[in-house]
Amino acid sequence: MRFLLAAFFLLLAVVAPRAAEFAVYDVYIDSGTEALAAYQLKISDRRAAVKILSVEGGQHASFANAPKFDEKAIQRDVIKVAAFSLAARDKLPSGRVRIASLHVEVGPGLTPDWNAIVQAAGGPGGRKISAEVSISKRENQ
Amino acid sequence: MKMDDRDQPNSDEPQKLRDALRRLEKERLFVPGTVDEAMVRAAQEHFGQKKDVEAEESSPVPVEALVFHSKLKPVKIDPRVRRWHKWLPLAASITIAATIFYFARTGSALAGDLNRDGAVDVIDAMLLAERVERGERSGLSADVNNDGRIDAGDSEEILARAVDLERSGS
Repeated sequence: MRFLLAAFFLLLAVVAPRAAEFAVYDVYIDSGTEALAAYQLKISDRRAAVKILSVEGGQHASFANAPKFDEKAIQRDVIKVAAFSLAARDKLPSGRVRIASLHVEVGPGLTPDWNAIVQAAGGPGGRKISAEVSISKRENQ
Repeated sequence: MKMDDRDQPNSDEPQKLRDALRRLEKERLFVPGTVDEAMVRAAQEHFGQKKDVEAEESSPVPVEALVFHSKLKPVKIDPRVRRWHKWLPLAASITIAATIFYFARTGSALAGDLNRDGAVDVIDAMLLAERVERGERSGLSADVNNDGRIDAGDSEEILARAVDLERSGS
């Protein structure tokens, strides 16, 4: 009898639909030694596992406000974000810095496969600079 | 024979011929309209326009109209104008080429593309915001939102276009 009950609960755990997960993904830009004054990114999920819910600003004071994004990106798995700062060079971030965070709903049992592209990155005065983008899941929410 | 003597009767001409010519000058020849019509028809048949004649018969056209058409003279073009005619194709070609070039140039200059890199992006928005902040608004063709002035609203508009998901190239 105990064996039957255990088997039943095990089966229930496997078959029962899992709830969607809410997660936060931090977006980082690494501009190396260059001061970052502007960025424009296109972020999408190759697996279409997520629905974007909202966008949060970054950690640095120059990019603390939420970046500009298209409202149509909400509830979708693709978004373009952009922001710039007119602060002085010494007030701008350089190196790896979190510039934004995405609040998303992840489909049950799914893991997003992010594809992030730097469409434009600029330093003070509008000079184009090279930068790399990376996205990582925030663990301690 | 002298020129003044040309109206004088020539004794060598036969008398009968002279009389006939005198009668011809005095008499007025009457040519009936039917003869004119027959001549026109014969001429049209001769030039292979029989079908037209048949069509005319089904919808009769006054003979006078046909005679009128036959009396049309070819348009004479003034030699000065004709001289210009040979330059017309060249002038038309230059005009078309100039028009295409103009639109190609203005088309490549995107509204809001301040750094002229062929894309309207966040850097253009930043450049415009910087210039507006410094008060440099003259010489800028960056009224992107078409409100008649260049201000921070245009920078916002450029930014909005840059992140628009439905714009081409996104």
